[in-house]
Amino acid sequence: MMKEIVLFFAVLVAIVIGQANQPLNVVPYPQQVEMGSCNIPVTSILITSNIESTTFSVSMERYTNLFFPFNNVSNSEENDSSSITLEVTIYSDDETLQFGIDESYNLVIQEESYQIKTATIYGAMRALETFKQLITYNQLDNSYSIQCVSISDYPRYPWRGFMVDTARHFIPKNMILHMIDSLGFSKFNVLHWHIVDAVSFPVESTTYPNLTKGAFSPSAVFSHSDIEEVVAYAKTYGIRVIPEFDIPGHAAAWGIGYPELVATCPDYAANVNNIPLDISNPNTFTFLQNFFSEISPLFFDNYFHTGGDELVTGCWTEDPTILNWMTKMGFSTTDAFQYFENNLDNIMKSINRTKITWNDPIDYGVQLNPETLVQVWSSGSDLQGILNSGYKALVSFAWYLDKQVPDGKIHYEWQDTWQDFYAADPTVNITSNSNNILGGEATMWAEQINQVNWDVRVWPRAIGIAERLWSSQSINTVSLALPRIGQFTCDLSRRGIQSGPLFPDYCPMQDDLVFTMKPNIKLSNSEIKLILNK
Amino acid sequence: MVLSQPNEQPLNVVPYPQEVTMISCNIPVLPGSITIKSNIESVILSISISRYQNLFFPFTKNIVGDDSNKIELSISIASDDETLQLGVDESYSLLIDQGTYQLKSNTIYGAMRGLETFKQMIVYDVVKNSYSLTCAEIMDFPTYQWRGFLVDNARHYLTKDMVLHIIDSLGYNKFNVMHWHLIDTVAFPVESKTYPKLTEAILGPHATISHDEIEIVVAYAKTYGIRVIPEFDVPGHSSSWGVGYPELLANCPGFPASSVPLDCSNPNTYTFLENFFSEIAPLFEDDYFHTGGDELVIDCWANDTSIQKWMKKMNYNTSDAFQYFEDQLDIIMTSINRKKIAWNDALQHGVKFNENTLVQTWTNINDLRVVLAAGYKTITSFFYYLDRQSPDGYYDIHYEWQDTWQDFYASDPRLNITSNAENILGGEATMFGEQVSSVNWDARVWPRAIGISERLWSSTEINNVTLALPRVGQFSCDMSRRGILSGPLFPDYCPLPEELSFSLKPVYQLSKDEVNLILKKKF
Repeated sequence: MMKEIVLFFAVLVAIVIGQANQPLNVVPYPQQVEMGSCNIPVTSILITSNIESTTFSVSMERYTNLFFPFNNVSNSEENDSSSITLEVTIYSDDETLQFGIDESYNLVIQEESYQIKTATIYGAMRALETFKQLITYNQLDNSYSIQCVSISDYPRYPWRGFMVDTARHFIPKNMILHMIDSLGFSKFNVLHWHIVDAVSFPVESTTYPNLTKGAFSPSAVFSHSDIEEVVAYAKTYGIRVIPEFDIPGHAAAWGIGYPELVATCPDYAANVNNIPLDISNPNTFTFLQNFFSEISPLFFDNYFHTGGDELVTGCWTEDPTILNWMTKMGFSTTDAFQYFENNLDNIMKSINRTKITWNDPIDYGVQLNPETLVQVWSSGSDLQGILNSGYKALVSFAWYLDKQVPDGKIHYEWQDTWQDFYAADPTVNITSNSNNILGGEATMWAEQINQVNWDVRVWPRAIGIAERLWSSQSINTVSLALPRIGQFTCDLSRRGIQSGPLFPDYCPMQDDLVFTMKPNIKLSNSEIKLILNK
Repeated sequence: MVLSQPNEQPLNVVPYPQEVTMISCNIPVLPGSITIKSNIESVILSISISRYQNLFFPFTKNIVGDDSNKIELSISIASDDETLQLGVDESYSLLIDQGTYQLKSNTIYGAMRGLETFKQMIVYDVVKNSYSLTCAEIMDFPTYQWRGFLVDNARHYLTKDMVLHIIDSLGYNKFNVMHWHLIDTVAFPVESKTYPKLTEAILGPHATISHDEIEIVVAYAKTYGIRVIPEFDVPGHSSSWGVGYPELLANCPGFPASSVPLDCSNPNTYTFLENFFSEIAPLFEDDYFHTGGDELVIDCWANDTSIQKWMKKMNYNTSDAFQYFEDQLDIIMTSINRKKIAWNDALQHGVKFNENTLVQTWTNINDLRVVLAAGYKTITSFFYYLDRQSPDGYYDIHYEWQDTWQDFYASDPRLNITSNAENILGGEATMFGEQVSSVNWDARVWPRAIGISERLWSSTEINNVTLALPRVGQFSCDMSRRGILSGPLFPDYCPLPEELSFSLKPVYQLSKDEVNLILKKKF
């Protein structure tokens, strides 16, 4: 029943053969590629590194386990050259992982020389992923080979984020680690952890233990050691983890254990998303100060996300206490919101973090501290305004993985919305200050997502976002990307990520493959401590 | 006893039963405390019973409860006839009350439907870590006798185990037909001993379905009361036949290879089809056999010089040629003792089907009216395209992609049909496989297809999204605990067994003996 698509595919193959200017099957496509002419059979790979690093050795062990998904490989060309040594040279042993870290690498594969050169261990991780993708499995003769090539690569954007929502559905720690696997494979480098929201508060607090009364269940809670494991695991992929505590709106869950924290507005209470914090009470800010001081040391990133979206100020003005306070202070709702954000800035200073907010306060007329990083989820025209005001910004509006129609286009197949994500260059229609766009973030809001269907909702579609944020702006042709993505999505599924196909093809899987929704490496407690330098 | 109001759906069961009387008790149960006894001996039913016994209690650690409470579900089946064909009686009644646990049906297939309902009435309480059985009296039967699901094994190769896993999920939803779209333009994965070169058109090494595998699939489906109907799509979508046997295809240079149909002018084409279908049909027990007939690129025939010559000799236009093809198919169907199913396209080409043809309407409601006006029996599919971003045309856009389940749910097969509606036997969901493999099949289909299964089984008055949502939410969670990757439709908490992983294998492994017994094969 699908003539058009089949025809399209036939045409597509013809085009790809016609102009093979993305000859390397790697996703995201590297910045500079020089194809070699050899294809080297491999049966085993040893990775050596010039530096000692627990963080990087986890990465090396992981990739060593991933190189050969099928065992019992026939070795028709049995000789010494089928065992190769990949030499990794890293110039700095500084393992600091913060915004702007150097992720560039050089990778050269030629007969008897297999070299990765990078400035940091994080660049080396990106190179290992690329190297992994260069190993091709040939099912016909059940063998592996590696493509000779010289690659010089670096990301177009330093901020390539992915928002994970653990509030609308509780996501067990192991599933978060599994998600991090999939993000690392796609060279994302920020996990934006939308950890609480109106419907649940799954984060343990030793200062305020009643907060987790707002969890779905006592077993649906992240302990501090869970968080440390997530942060450490992400670091083995060069992924920064940034928590979001969404305030002052979307705050109902804070009030389950501490009702005095939230505003009272019966007319709005039918929708749990309508309930904000009570900003008139000084204790609210003491509470936030204490809680953030407890939580933020678990995350080493300089940034901290305080939400700020979809505030329902009508709830404030329905609450007589808040209304009295506003009158006393001579505050409009905008002033009240401004007051809240100013107080947050003081808290951020005391915990030594830079604030990220959604763009909503600006729409309300709030002046954010110029250091604030603004995450724009509304529209491209809002983005232009925010850039014009001098803020640095992240683009998210183009990458809502939950939407049936992410950008107004209707494709025949739902999965083809990956093309909308792929086409969404962060600078499109931006005429000034585009250098203040640090990158972007995909969002997978979880109203209709849990660990059961997360993979399939996200992959392979988010590959389009990963490539958009890493690769050169000129790498943007769907027909050229499609065969590469097809190969990568097959590769992902062999690694235990449920990433399906985008066109008729054949991706044989391991007979014993089971989707466990668990991480591909289990970190020991001592590894976690070493990775976190504790 | 509390008789439920029509605008209430107090029982957490999907698809919602026809008649429900709630009884005000809740019986605590423990893993191992439920036994099932049947009045007839049947290998098929005993597999179903043993499967459900393994599914009743997904959590088994430290369950709270009184282990003195033993429950014996007594199944009473009126007939031991195990024939599974269109119209088989699937009705059942279920009475769960303090000390009384009775399932009554006319056939083993009705009993299977009752067992699924019974399973859904065992509720796990995560806070207490305990189970209880909901008391109720249920009289149930399907609104539509044909509740099908198309599985595409051509665009991506699905392994036998994945097909069995799919059957698990269909059985839980009380679907009763698996329409197996086995081959298409891009691949011919079905083994043939008569014409071994057909499988030169496979997508990759070992991507074939053997006769033994087909028998296992048919037998496994029977343990859910699911009929398996193969589709061999001809005369269009046929280029894969020509990989091993090029002489079967029309020759129309300039047309994309993917649109080349069979050569209708060559008598050998029909001999080939007759031989091949005679080999394959006995592997399937069903009276129906689907011969496709969609999206024929008829201009290819008009551009093939030898077909042109033949048409001229026969005094045929392309429509007549298509008619001739379908008439020849009818002769073959008679010889293999099968009734033909065809997509509705041929009618739009002016072809007249044999009156016994069952027409599957995939295009739109106007075409459906044409099919009915011409007196054919039909099944509708155009509402239920699971591959589409916007299944409901381009009008009804939801925020969330998964909410397209509501489009399916709203689409009664007889919606806006005023005459001959009784000739609509039911409907079929379709999951065409261009962008679906075993990796993402579950999550593409579920929980959205629950909307289709309830639409086809339940009363047409059970159509309120708000009332259905909590039930669908609970069932989707239940399915995921059974190893089906079916996600949520709203914020909730569905704890899964810690050791649960998704193997995409069937929940029950049939032995060779069981397969033979189910298919009543002589040893």
